[in-house]
Amino acid sequence: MYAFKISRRIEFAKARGFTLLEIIAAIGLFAVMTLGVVSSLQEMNRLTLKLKTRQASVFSGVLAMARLERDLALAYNERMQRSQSFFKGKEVSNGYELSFTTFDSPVRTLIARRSPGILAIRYYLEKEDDGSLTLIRSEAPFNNFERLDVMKGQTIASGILRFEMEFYNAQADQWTKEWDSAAATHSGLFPKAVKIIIESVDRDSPQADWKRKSLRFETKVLILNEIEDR
Amino acid sequence: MEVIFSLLILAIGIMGILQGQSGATHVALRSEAMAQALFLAEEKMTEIEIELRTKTFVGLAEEEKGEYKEEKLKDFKWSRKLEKVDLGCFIPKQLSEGSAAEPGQEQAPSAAQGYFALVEKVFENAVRKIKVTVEWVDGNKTKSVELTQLYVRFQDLPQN
Repeated sequence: MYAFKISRRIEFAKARGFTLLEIIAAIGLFAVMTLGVVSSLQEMNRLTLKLKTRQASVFSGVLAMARLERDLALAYNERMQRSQSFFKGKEVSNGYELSFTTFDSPVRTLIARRSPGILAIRYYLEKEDDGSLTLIRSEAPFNNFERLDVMKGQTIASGILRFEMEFYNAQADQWTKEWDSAAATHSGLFPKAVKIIIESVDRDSPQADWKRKSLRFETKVLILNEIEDR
Repeated sequence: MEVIFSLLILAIGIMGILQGQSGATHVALRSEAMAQALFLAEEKMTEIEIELRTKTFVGLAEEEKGEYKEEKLKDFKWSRKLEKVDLGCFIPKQLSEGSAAEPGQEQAPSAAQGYFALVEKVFENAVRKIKVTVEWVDGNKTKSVELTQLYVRFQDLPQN
């Protein structure tokens, strides 16, 4: 009987739960872990929001720059008498407006045969209700470029805060704010290079932060087809 | 004890996943500086090409550095380097090595060797490797974008 009692006591001792110390340690550890997870989640949320905001402005700016670079690098000056090729860049109330003749996509020209190979392109800005600008690109076939001003454009980038250009006059070795190839001063010439400045921002971000959060992209593009008079 | 250990492992696992995700977010945020730097490097390269319209390679500094004054770009620094290009590889091997001379006799340069040496010199004066680097500080690391191109100044080549 005595032996049975001892063995029951040992079994009871073996089957007991956690000690108070163990439970406190486990709860303490769980609390620390939960705090860490919550703070990390908050940080991640903040970063994701920031990322979304920044990526929108990066995407907008990069897209606009890439499109402009491609069109400008292939700007085409026919350099013939009575040629219809032109290059005009001027400051307007919203920023800059640019129109010029350029080579069309080789694929569209050669395979689809829907283009005479040369396009007239116009880049212009439209002011949105929130005060930001939207960059729009419209194009017309070279032989019908009178329609350029009435053609419905395609939005290239929105959330633009600043869109500026400068034009390099190779003959005078200086940068100018405006260019008109038809003007007597340029006598049919295109600029040798164009400087593009774009500042873009995410329109969903608070308007008060726009100036601070905007991203500035600037580059210079050589116009490859412009022949220099030596 | 087992509970503590399992909680510890869980905590380390969750923290690892969160760290990884936050790291990925940071990398994506860094890409904006890279996009800006790439356009700036292109800009600098175009500026060099414009300069080279009127200046020879000798007229340009071999190395130059600078910063951007614009408030939005003040974190970026640029540097450019003009390097001579070794065009020796274009000379036929047997000409650059010369034919084996008789023992005790000095090897005389052949007419072809002289011609290729002259051509090499002329071309080397008209060709440079242009490197443009745009740097910015990201946290405690310096990041950079580098553009390189081989530039031939045709004006420096003989007309005929």
